[in-house]
Amino acid sequence: MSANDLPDFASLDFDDVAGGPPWVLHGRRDSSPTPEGIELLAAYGPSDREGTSSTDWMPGFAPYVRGPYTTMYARRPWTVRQYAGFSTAEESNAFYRKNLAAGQRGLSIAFDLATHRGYDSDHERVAGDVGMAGVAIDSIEDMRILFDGIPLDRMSVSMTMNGAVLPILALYVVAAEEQGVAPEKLTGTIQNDILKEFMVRNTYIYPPAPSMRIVGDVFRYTSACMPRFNSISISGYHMQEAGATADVELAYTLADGLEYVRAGIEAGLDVDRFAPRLSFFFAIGMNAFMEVAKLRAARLLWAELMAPFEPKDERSSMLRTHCQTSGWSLTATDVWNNVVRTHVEALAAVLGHTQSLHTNSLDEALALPTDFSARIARNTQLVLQDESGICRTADPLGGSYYVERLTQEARREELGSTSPRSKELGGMARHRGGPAEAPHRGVRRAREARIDSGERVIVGVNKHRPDRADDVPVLKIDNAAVRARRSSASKLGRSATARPSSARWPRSPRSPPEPRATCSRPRSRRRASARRWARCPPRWNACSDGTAPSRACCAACTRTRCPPTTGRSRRRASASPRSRSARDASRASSSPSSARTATTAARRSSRRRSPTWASTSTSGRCSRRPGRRPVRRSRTTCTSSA
Amino acid sequence: MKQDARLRAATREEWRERVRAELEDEDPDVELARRTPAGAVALAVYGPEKGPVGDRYEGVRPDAGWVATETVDLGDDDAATRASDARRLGIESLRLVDTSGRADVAGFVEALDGAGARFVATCPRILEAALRSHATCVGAIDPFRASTLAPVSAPIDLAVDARAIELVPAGVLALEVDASGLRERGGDAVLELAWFLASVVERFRANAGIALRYAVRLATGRDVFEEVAKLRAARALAGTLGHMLEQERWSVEIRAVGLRLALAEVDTATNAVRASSQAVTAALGGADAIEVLPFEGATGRALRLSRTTHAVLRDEAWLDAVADPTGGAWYVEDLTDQLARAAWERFRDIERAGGLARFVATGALESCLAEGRSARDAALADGSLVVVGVNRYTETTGRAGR
Repeated sequence: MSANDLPDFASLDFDDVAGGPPWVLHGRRDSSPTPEGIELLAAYGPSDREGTSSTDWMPGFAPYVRGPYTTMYARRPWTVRQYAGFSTAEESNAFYRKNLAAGQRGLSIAFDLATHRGYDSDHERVAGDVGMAGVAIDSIEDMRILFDGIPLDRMSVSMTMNGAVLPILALYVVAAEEQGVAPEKLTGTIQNDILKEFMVRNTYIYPPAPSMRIVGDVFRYTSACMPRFNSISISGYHMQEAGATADVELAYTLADGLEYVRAGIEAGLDVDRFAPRLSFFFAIGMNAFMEVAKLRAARLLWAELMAPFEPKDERSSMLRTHCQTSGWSLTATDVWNNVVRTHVEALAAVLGHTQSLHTNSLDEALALPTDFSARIARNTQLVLQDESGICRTADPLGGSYYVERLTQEARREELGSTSPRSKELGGMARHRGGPAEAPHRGVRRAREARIDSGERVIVGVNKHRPDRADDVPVLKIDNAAVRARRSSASKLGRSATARPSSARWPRSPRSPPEPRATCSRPRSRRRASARRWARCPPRWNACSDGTAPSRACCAACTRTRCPPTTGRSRRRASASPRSRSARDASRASSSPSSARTATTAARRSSRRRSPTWASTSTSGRCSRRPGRRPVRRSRTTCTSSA
Repeated sequence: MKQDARLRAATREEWRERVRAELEDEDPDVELARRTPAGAVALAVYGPEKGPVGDRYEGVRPDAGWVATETVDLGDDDAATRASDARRLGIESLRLVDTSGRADVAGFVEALDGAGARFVATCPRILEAALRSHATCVGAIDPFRASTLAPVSAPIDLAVDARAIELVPAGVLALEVDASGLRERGGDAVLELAWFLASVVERFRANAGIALRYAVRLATGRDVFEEVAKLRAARALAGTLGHMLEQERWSVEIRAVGLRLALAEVDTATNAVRASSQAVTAALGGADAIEVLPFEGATGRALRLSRTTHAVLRDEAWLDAVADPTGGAWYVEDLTDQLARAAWERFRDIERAGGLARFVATGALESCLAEGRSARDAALADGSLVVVGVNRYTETTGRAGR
């Protein structure tokens, strides 16, 4: 065409002009499949959406693939909920208040390892852990300080607590009551997911059977007295952190969820009394579209899995979740790349329609976040909410050929692998430490091998490795100073209910009061009951076979040597993202993958053997010496000491 | 895969009824509809009734992956060092500008040529010197670029295109439409697209049917899906234009660069998130070349992050794995269509006004940009346009990074 032949564009309507020639590229991509075993195509088209029910789904309607609520973020964005806590209750409280003033919308409390495992801060076994990876809470005084100036009737509080769930929940209820807030007004979540503790996170205290009973007790109590509070956060996060792929994380988390539903029903509850308060917790890794598909598939599968229980309340089938960006994906070198990683993951989480989100800080592979790095992490979410425009429309990726296909693939992978096997084995609670661990271990080993060989690229580690260390300020917790401060506070009577480790506690944990249909007891009595729990850390002498603890049983294993919680046993908790990062940084070696803190942590985790309660039960002996706090031990330890 | 029969489908009408009840009888398609920065309407939910419109948007992206690009000013004292660092960190294409007008282009290119870089020359002098040095070089010649960067009174020399084309072997990319400057000065996404169409047509007229291959350089701002839709619309409109110009060897390379205006001058560390967002957006939109902005000026850490971001997005996030990953998404398809239509209408307005050169010469462009700037300032002042750390969440409690 010559210039003179040009059409008169001014007179041409858009619908009068044709499009360009269609372009079709629809072959397989020349690359290895995803770690989940899904082969990606170079491009996806209309045929990839055929055969899915995506055109029939709407947000807020079962099976909730497009989001659990009708308008999702268009009317209310997700809750910015940053997991934080360190040092003393005073310091953590100040940190929370600063963050809330700067745009955070909900609290997520990180407890230190000592609190997780039920130790007071002055116990000799936890000397190195106090205040390091979370806040140390020993008493009602600590809890009071922790929430000082934070109105618990208006603040949703999430607490990552599993083993010592009873005293911590009790302390929280009492702290609220002292603010004049009744339990029924409390909103938030208690993690209370003991199954994944046995599998990956390792801060359990009791054997599986009594642990599951506690879970059921918490269900009963919260369904009766705390109707707005999520009684559990069924967590896949730690599985992905320990090496699981998205499909394995999804499969085992949903299988755990089913086990908790059964536990609730076995506790005598109608499914609709507790299922609407079940919540989930997923990790969001770097493969953004896979993570979006995972969250969509999770909601679809949960609705399907709940259907046989015949819930009448549609909320019982609705999967609501908290998400956290991956700690594993962060690197200890070239840490500014972590901002990009966290941003990509946060974007995936919100495109997958999470209900709340934690974004990691850029320095979390080195230490706990500073104010500076915490601000960037929080602003990552605020920029997404207020600047990116993604809240306008529910499920903006709905209909995408790629995403819809991937959603179905994720569902198929999950259903094809783990769930049926879990059913065959009789549920997640019955095979802790057995097959449940195998899938992510294998994946983890393969992943580390690919990193070491350079096949899998980690920027700053095995590609574009920096010549010099990052110049970022890091937060250092002076553990000795924390313990000294807590000790002096205790002497001054601040922690009135804290007792020295030598104090004699009541012999065994008591079940929480039987919940009633409504909390009809006078508040003063309820408070007294909760205080009693608050003062009484759980007694750790449950027997390894899951039977009720007794002195006679405990006396049978007096020869057992209890290892200290430092060293190996402390490292077992390294799958906890918070504790893992800071500790591992100092141990990074020159190997490419070991420079990634999380990889190192995962490797450590793989070295350990999980306690196999079933094997020790044959001896009928308790795994601890009377008068000592709990220890977890491997089969080897128990066998040799028996 | 069999799904549980108890999970029945929901219709859009059921959804509307439920939301209407939640909104106390307001129509959700009215009450919850929002406008994007460029004026497109976004509903609260989309479904198949808002699907792809014909074949126009089928396959709007011909290939997966992008070329990592960085701009180097040859007039800077440290240009050679900076370019060398960029190459070492995986930057594949160096976009050369020379603000001094006196830089030793040949010396610079020869020093780097061995490293296998692709050079993008933004003026004939650089293009000529680079080609003389036998470097791998493409052109980014745009006679209208100066008009996008500042008000100009000098006449626009459209003959520069012909000279550029003479310099490069037949079929090699020589021409560019750089619309990114418009966004920095207050223009919106629709104006960018219309500018692209009008520029190609104007240059086609002036240079007797020269079109061949073009590149279009667009800024990626903060609104993720609008920018994704814009990049998709640019490719669809390019297809339409090539078809109308009857160009057999027609192709358009889309180059995306982060929008500097979207970065904040305070609390600059948060710009690392914004720069990442711009890069992700460009990748999702199918840009063929992406340039990531340093988040706090030319500091070492900011430059390094702007370069390594490409590798993180490719190697760790797999964003180069699938072409047009948002294709088929009802919302994205609808936005793409809205932007393409709006851009076509704006293009027709420019044509009615006598073409692009006249649009610039009469001051119509400047008034259009001034209007955009005023609207942005007003939105910032009344809080309807939020910039984190600037007019919301302004409390900076943290220590500044060193």
